[in-house]
Amino acid sequence: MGDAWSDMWSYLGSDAAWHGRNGLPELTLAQLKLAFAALAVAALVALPPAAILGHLRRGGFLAVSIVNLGRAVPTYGIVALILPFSLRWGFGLGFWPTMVALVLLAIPPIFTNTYTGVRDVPPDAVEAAKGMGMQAGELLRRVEVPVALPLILTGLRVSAVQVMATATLGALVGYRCLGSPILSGIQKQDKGAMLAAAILVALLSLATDGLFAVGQRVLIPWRRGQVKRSEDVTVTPAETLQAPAVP
Amino acid sequence: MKRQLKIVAVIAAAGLLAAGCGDDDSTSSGGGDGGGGEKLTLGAPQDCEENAFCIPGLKDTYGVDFTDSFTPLDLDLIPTSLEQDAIDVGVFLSTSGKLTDDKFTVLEDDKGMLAADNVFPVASKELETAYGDDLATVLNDVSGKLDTDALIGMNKRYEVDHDDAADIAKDWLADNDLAGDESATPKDGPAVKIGAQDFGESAILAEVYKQALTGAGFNASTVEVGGFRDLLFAAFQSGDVNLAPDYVSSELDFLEEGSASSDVTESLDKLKPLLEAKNLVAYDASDAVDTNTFVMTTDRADELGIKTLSDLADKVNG
Repeated sequence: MGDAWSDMWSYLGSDAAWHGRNGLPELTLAQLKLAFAALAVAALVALPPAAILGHLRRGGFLAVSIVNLGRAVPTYGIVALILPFSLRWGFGLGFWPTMVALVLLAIPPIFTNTYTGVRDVPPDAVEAAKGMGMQAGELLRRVEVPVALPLILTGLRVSAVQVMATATLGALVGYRCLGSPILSGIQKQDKGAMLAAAILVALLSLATDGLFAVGQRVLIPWRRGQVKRSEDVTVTPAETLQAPAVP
Repeated sequence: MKRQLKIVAVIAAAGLLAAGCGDDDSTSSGGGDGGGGEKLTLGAPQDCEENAFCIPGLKDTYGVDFTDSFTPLDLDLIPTSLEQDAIDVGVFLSTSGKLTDDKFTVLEDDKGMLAADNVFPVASKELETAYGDDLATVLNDVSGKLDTDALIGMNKRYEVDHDDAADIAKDWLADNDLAGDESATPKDGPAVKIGAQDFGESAILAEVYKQALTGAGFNASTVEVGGFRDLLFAAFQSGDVNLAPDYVSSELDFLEEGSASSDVTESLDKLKPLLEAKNLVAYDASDAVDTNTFVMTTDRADELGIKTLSDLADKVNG
């Protein structure tokens, strides 16, 4: 291991680490682009149906089960499954097949948390809003989603961190990202670039988590100070998975 | 609540932006481009860019440069990418079971650029001293019969038919009269522990040598080292393994970076003193070569009239 550390420092001191299409800045940018696109698409796909099903308080168990099927298949398996279709339909190698796989990875936490959050809005709040004459759309927009916001953001946060770390897989299907030096490092038994890229991926994932922590403080100001920090992230995927089983 | 709408709007805008810019890495299949040669794309594992037997080798030996038309791909996904015309030329391992399929054509390495990754057994000094010629005879007999086509066939059974490595080895040994005799007189001496690296072909080869040795009365078993060459050498040092099949060029490159060549005799001569220093001995190299090889779909190769890497270079350079 000591070997690997010194390899890493000499790699970081080299020109190749910082310039060109295999340089770390370029690869980091590609990684961010892919992760960001996948998270955005997953949010667009998952948020509206999850909120509506949560509002209706039905159909959620089935939906959550279907969405969670994605978790049973490793993301690389999904990439390999998608690849032939991506090629046949002209989306090519690289960005698109990886993004689709990452979207499937990102959907379950977002969907489950949003559904559970909206469904579990206290009934008295919902009743009060109805008493004020709110229609379904207004009720969802002005009461249920804001109350569920902490959970929804936690779902996005979990997905974002997973996607950021998993985007490395793009390197297997022709998308140059931080997975590329990791792969070539394994193939060439060159630990320097591999370790540098791996550490960078870990740091990016932590930074993503941190960014969401800050975002949650800004977007949910009414929770600031009232709850302990740990409560912000108490809804783990495992918990929310079971939650819909109780209607 | 305006805030929710704002979040959704930001996410949507960002998503479109990222998706829009994300397209620049996808490759398109080559067609003729007006001036000069054919634009052909190469799909290969990431390390091809720096591997002396891949892009730099093609440049030095054949004068064709794929640097700007290279798509890094996982080895397992290359056949699909070739079949779907996402790439024109793909790197396979020369012993890949996929090569039993007629739809793929291996481009002949007519200028001898590819690495001499011939399969050969390495043993510890201790084992060599204990058994001497008895061991050498068995190992060299097996290596004498082993060739690339034999490995392609065995790999096909492993990868495509999902047969057991032990059964595959058994059948091949029987077909080549190398199985020996199950009731051979047991030999006195240290147990033979054969290291297999973490890929199918290594498991098959370890079984081949193990069963051949067992048939000659040796007490032989296989050991999974759970990784690649670095772990194999660690297992040799710790004594968990005292015999292993390996590949000449790759092992030479592992012990002395940049030394490997396309000449097996020369590579083996360079390798022997390096092994000696580690208390290891090399036995005869077989004709079975497992190295990067360049493959096109038969249809595409016929269409362009490409049979060799020289043809490929001519086509690309125009």
